[in-house]
Amino acid sequence: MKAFFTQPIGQLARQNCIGFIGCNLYLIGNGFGLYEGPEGINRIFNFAWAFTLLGIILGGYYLIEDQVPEYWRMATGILGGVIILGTLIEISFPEFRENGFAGMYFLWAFNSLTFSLTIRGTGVFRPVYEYLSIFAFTFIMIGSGAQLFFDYTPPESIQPLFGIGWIAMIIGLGVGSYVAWGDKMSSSTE
Amino acid sequence: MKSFFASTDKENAQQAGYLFLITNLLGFVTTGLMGMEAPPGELLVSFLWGLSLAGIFLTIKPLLGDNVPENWREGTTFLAAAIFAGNCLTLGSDGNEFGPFFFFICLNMVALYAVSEGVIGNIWRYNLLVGGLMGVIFAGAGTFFGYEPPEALMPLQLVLWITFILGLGVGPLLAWRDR
Repeated sequence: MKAFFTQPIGQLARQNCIGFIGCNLYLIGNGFGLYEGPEGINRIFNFAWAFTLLGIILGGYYLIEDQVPEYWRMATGILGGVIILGTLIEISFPEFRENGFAGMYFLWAFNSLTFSLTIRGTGVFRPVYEYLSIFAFTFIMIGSGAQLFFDYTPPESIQPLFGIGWIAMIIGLGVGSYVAWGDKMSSSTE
Repeated sequence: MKSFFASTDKENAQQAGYLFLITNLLGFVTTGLMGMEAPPGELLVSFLWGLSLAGIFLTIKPLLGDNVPENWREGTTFLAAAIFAGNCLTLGSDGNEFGPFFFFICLNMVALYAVSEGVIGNIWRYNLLVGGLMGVIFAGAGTFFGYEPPEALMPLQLVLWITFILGLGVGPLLAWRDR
């Protein structure tokens, strides 16, 4: 059990990428009405979503530590704290269960967009994942910002667009981080 | 005053540990288990409880040292931030809004059990494990499935509370004293 909790960051991050992709696929299927999961299971997946995202965020700094200043480490700590706090609030407080905690999504998207733009072109992430991340987080930032600052909820007709943005996020962040860690680990063992 | 705010990890951890024990003792006496009414200042005790627990988790990485990788420093910061903010948000609430946060704390108690061999005494580690697992089951059932344990299971919750105090309060406190 100790080996699991103290495994190298690259391995931890890759496991969390797979978990994150799995949780997102379940939540997307549920969100778009492909099936209706029991409320309890949905909450477990919501928690697991945040928990796996934490692993990716935690690994994010170590993935790019040569490219950014040391204080990015604290910033990832703050972002991770907001993600887990926001998700636990979503689970705790009924008023946030339906529409989510927009502040958390906005801050996450804003930070992730900054992250993606900062490391673009450095070779850490492959270009296709960089562009997908930038597209996705711009979308999420606009959507959550509109809800957070202007109480605007997009009409049903353009909801599928958000689905496209979300899928781009899963590939850009989830698959992109998995591949980037794979590249980093294989280059460090060469 | 500067020395208080710039205290060492050991001093911080000991202050947080003692505060955690005191606030739990006060909570224990005033939750009806001892037949007493909640006194004025109950919210302050709850606030200090969250503060002390966040303090304990913030000093876990320095306590465990090389037993855990460096990324635990950020991991424990996530946790402390969530506990402190969650506790402030749910101060004085009648419902079980803190349940998901408690579930998360218990999950981390199990992790702490796994990595603290040779640092925290085994008796306190077993309390971490038992309390953590029971907490994951009870708090998880409540958080995810809305399950409320019947009155008959109250004694089990009392055991959970005691293991929680011993595992998270006494264990790290004694480990720091031996440093």
